[in-house]
Amino acid sequence: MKQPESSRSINLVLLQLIFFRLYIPLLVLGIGAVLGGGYLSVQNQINKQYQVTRTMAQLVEYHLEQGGRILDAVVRASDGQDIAHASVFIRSTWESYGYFETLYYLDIEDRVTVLMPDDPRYSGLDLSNLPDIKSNKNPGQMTISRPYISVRTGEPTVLLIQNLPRAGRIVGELKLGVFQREITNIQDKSAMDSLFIADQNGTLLAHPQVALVRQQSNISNLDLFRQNIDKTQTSVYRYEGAYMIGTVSKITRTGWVVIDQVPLSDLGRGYAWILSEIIVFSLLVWGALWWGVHGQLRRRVVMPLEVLSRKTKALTEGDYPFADTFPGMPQAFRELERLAADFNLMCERLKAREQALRDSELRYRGLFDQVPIGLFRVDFSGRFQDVNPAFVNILGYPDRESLLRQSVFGILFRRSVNRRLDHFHLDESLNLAHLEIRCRRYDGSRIWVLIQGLCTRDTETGEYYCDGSIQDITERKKFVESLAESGRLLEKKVADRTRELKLANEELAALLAHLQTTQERLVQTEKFAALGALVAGISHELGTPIGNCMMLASTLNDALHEFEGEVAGGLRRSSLNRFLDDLSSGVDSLLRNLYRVAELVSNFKEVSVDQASSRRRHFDLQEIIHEIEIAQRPVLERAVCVFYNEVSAGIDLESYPGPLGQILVNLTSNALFHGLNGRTDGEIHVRAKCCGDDRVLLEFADNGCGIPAENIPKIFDPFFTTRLGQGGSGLGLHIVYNITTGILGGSIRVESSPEAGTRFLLELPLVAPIPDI
Amino acid sequence: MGERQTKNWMIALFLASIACAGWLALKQFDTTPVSIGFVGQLTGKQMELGVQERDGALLAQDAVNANGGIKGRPLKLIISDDLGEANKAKEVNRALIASGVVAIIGHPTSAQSLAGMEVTNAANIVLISPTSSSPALSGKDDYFFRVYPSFKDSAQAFAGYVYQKARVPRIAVILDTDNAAYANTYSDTFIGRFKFLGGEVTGQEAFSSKKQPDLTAVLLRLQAGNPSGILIVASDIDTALIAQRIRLLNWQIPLFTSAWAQTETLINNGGRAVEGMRLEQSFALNSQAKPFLDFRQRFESRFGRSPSFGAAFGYEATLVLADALQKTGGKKEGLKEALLATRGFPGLMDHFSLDRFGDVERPFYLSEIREGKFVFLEKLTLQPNR
Repeated sequence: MKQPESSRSINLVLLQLIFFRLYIPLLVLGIGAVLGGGYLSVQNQINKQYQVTRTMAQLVEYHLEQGGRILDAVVRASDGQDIAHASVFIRSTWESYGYFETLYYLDIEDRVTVLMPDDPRYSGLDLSNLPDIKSNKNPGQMTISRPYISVRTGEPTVLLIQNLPRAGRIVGELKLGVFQREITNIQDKSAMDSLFIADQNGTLLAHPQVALVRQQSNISNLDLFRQNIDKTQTSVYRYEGAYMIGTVSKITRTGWVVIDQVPLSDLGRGYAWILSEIIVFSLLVWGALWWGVHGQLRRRVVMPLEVLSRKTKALTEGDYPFADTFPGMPQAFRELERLAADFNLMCERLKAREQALRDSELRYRGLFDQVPIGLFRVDFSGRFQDVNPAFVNILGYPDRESLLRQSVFGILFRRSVNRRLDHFHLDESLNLAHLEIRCRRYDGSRIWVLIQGLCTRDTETGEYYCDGSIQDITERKKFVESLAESGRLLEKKVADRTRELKLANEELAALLAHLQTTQERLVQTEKFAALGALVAGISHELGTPIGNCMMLASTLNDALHEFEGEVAGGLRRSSLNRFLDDLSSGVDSLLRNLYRVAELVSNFKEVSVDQASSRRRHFDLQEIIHEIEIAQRPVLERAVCVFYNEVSAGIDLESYPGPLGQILVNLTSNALFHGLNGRTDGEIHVRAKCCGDDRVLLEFADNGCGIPAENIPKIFDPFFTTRLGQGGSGLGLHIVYNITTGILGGSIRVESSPEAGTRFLLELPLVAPIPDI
Repeated sequence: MGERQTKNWMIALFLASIACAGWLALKQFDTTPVSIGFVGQLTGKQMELGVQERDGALLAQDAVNANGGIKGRPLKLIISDDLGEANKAKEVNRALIASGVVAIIGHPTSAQSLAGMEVTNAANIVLISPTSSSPALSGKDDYFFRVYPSFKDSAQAFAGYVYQKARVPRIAVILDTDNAAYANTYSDTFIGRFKFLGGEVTGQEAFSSKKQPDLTAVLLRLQAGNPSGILIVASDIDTALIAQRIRLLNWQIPLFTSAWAQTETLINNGGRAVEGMRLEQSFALNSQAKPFLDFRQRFESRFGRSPSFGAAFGYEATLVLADALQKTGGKKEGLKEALLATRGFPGLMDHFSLDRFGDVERPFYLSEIREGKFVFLEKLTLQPNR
């Protein structure tokens, strides 16, 4: 396995660890401490400046006081004395105190009367224009002038002026050197600070650089000076390009100021030095630390690791003897020792595993070489990497090497490949499953082969291969082809047979049509036969009464002729009565027969009644049946039969109530006439139930003797009756049938048994069909 | 991955520090102050003129810096004291040049300027004097400039005034040879004109201020000539002392003095002795020019006292120099040419131009001291020769 380039050596890791986790935090701590110290030092500096300036201000006031007292003494001594006396006293004062550069005794016109030290060049000078000299009005109160350049010394000075009670003044030029000395004294103690005294206008009175005082330099542009100071104040400001921290104290008596300032850079310089020392020192410590640790690290960690690394390499290359021996593995630490032990274990296991692998490899190689199936490995460029003898054999190559020089595309027919696979690329997605393809053998002949293969990745090189097997299926292919030929023959036979069957079928259909035509013709014939039967029936039915009538009529005619003869012969009463009797009975019999004829004709008429003319309306089935029951009641009572209307209310029909009533009447008379004839326990049940949304099943049942089974198919035929000549016309049920299947659009069937009686079942639509007109 | 990040961080840090350093260096380079020297007598009895000029120059420095300095760089005055001595003047000029100043403002008095320019001319460094007025400095094509006019004409005009208007026919002259370049030339010019007009010079005495002579003896010698007026050519303090001596001799004689003494020190130390003294002034005390009033106000606020002529000319000299430095970008190269091109410069009271020798023509005024104050009398104009 390759080492990632970015991994660092343990030395570097440790170096960074020490640097970032130890050195930097310590450094930060150190810097923080120094900064904290710096802050405290600034506070200290401010306190010190405060003390220094206050002290200095008090000293200045003290010296001014002192000067004032000396002048007071001179004033008191000189007052009222003559010039000579005064002169002596002034001299002694000047000499003994040394506070003043020059002491002047001015007369009433401010002329120099006496001056000390004595100098004739200045005696008699008119000093009346000197600054502030005239501002002193009150005797006994000292005035302090602004700084000016002494006419005698040419040096800057301030004048202390005290008026004499009677006339004139004592004026002393204060030695500014007094302040200068005090400054120098304090200055010695703190070398960084700059302590100076300035008058109310900023003109320097004392400064560490004496020249600035002598040159009457002015520091009024100092921010600190411009602030409206009350007593003592500290601030940070910028002066001549540098940041200063300064404190100012005001001398209340004169308005002068004492300033102590120090550049912040000077203050910070010491700390910068300490800071750099800390950094340098800590760098050294860090370096030493790293150096020390580095040695130990090399001995205890790096060396053992390197040994392990070498062994691992040996192991990788299969050098087991080297990997087994463990030369100079130094005693390091527990974790490393454990690692070494683990490594040894791993070494043994690996050895065992490799042996197993080698055995397996041998087995595989044997199998590979001997299996009758051709095996191959081909890379994505199409070059054979490995093939077994069977593969060489299948393709007919003289030896393995000449095949290994061949490309897979050299033995495959590109066209046949393309035909079978839309995109035949050698890549990771390739999955050859049962690819049947034609190959070119070494001798140029073609064979069919079955290829199975799978793309695999070599874990060592990371490259992809296609491993596969190849089988010669040329023979099988041939067999399959012959099979396919047989199939084709079979198909042809089936097709021929199908054609023949079709012809036969057509003939059958023609036959069927002919049969149907024949059937219709037969039906027609049947109808004519029925019509014939009907006409015969009618003739038969009518023949009897009409014959009777003709016989009666002829009988009557005979009687009439007979009577006429008798009338002509003289009518006798008995003849008349006999004639009348004969006539009455003859007419009665004639009427009866004629009535019979009329009834028959009426029935025939009903059979052919124009059903479309019946009235169509909404009605309730129960009501209609009830009406029928009422109409039939006399008949029913005469036959001692009970009619049960068991139809529930609410079955609404849009149909023809008239024909429906006719049906019921016919069925009732049929039941009474046939099934219940001669019985006294007759019952008729009419029931109805809806079947589906649009139909109703009407059941008409009696408990009569039933219909013989052989008669059931014929009961709806016209003129079929079991009571021919007994009053039954044989048309009742035929009429029922016609109405039910005709105008009402329903159907009728009959169920009958001798025990349970007869049941007519009528299935009627709730809405009757609209008849074709 | 970790190391790469660390490496990137380190590179970033390194670049940042370089950028920081570069920026600081650039900033440092950009804001280096433009150093110019200031030289004048700042200590001793005659310090007043030098101190005033220095303060004027400092005020100008602040004004220039408040307006953005020289192309963004601050103007910085390096102040030196020449003690009013010729040798010291050369010495400090050398030291200033060595310290890298691009020009020097100085000296207040003519003698020092004559000595100092030997050094600056040799080094091709501009020396611009606020108040040197000797004609001996005029008409030279060199590195010396001034914003103060030569007294060549004004001394003659003053002589005319003394002889004709003050009606002093006989004059005695006392002069300070410490500033001989000024005093000698001035007295010669004055006397020449005075004599030309018909006046008589009864005596001429020279003294050295530094030697602190007994002036009474000198004055007594002059008194012996019985003059009707005395011309004092000396510094402010010496003029004051001489005046006091004269009055102490109880010698009531009209006093006249040159423009050299025109400071408050003259009045402060002159007492009543200088009352009535008439003097030549380069300074229109009654000027109501706005720049001047503004300048006066600022000066008083900064230094707690009134500006004298020295302060005004020190201020102007610094502004003229700063103006030229703006053109050269703060460099000394081409500074002379830039100064020579100064035309119609707005001074505190008037506009002025530098001629091809670096000199100016500006008016002189006549004043009198009354009750401890300078009082403007008239503008001095040279009457044409008859």
